[in-house]
Amino acid sequence: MLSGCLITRFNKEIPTTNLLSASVTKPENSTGYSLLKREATEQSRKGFVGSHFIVSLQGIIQAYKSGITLQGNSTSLGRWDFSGSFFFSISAITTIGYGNLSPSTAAGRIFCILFALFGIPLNLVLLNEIGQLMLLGVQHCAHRLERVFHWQKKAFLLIKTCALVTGLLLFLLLPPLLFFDKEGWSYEEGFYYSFITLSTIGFGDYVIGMNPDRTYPGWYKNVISLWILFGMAWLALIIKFCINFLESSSDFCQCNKKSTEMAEDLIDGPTEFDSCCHLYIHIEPSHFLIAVVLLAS
Amino acid sequence: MPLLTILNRQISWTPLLVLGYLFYLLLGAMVFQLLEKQAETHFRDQFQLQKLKFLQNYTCLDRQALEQFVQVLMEAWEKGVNPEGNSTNPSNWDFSNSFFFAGTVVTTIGYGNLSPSTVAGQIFCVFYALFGVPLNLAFLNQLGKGLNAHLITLERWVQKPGRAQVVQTLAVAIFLTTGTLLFLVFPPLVFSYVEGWSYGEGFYFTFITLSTIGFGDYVVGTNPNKHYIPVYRSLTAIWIVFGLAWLALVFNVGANLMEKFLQLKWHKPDLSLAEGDTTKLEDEPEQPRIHIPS
Repeated sequence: MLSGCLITRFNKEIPTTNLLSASVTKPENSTGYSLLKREATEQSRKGFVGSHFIVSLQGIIQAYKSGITLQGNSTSLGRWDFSGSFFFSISAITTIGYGNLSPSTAAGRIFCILFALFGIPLNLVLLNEIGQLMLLGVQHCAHRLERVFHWQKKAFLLIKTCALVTGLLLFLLLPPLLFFDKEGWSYEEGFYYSFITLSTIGFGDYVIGMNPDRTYPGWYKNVISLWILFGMAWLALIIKFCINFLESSSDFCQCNKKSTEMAEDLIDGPTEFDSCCHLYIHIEPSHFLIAVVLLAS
Repeated sequence: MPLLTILNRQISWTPLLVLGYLFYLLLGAMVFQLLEKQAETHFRDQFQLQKLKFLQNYTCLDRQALEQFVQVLMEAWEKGVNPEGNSTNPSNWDFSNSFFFAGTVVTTIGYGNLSPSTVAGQIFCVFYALFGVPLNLAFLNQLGKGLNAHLITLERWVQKPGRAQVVQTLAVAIFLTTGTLLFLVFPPLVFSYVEGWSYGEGFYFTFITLSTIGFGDYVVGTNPNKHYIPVYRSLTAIWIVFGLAWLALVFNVGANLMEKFLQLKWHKPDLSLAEGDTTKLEDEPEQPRIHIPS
């Protein structure tokens, strides 16, 4: 590497068009590259020497902040073509916010703010819907089981544990295996990524589909998007139940309880909501805005 | 069967919602691509130009060496170390900054400029968030309930019914204005002054933070050229928590008002179905209601 400290070697090393074609797909950038090279040579001839190192350093950092991959290639999720923008939109309205891509123009930022302002409530409504459907599905199964096997409370508990375990497997324990295969992360890293994504924390230190050295199958992105959606709904349900549990154990209402069995089964198991107060669960608005009014009167 | 009817009512809602959501995402994707792609290409070219200029001036380096060095810088950045200068700022993981980090985890903002790099740190982060996120939500929920109770007692305290409306609206208006000033208008000024951002960038940072999206492209307290007071990031964490609490309250109060407004306009014919849930129906206006026949 150090043996080639010659301009000639430098000139020979850069092929005409192939270097940039790996990173940019448009063919016209090959002419752009030679233009750049010409400009670079000119500017260096004018004598810009001293601060180049610092300028380059700042440029590198700036580029990294803007989400531009600094090495030659970038994947389709790592730049602003349709897949990347779609993934970015998902990360914005689910409030995950990875940050591997973020708007750098003023217009992009303003649009991002407006987009998120309306998109986040929309996302919360959808998550609520999906969560309710999941819950109703579980209730339905429990009813069926009760009728067929004539169990009482046991059926419900069994179904709930089953649902919990299935959810855990499907959303938190099995995806790391997929990531191990497709991304090359260890199981622990895959689990960490799954949890950080589904809880919408979204650090962005691990992001799927960003490794240019790997080939991803066509279904990969879509499956992951679906996983994010359903996983978030499931996790939101779990957290809602945790909060319910905290709430019901703390404020215990002794009002007269006139709940029908149907109402109880529809909302939740008969054990948890024996307070007849209007149990208003309003989870913090910015992400899990699932407000369920539980009335048992 | 009541169960089926409720299922039916829900099912008719959902496909529309899913389609709307998908459409919204596609719209976003197209617009972002439109707005950002050009800038990205331009920036990419600029960066390549800088690399070329650099290489032409330091001829003992070849392209491979530069790429290797870029790799080194990237790894440093990913670990949260800012490679600029010899940073005299305190460590990223001293107490005040770790407090800030814990705050961003529990509120699910998750900037990502800093993230645990050890396996133990990552595992602990998962469990910390597992308990911290519900705790945070419960805390905000409790605050919401508290303020609602206060507003209702305020309403009861004012005797005349006409006055009650006025007082209540006034209280809500004051609450909204002070909150907006304190959490949305004033902090960007502080940030732009301390960090050297423009007001627009400060506002963008404020919004992305308070909505808990948290891209991490702008984070307070990470510029190595600036000297921050030691508790700067902790103060920011406190601002975030109170800002989120305020947002929760706004949504709560807004939902309440929307509720009253809708009840005034709508004399629902299907109220007979929802006999049980008339009083104190606190719900998010956007959320679909499950009317349970009693």
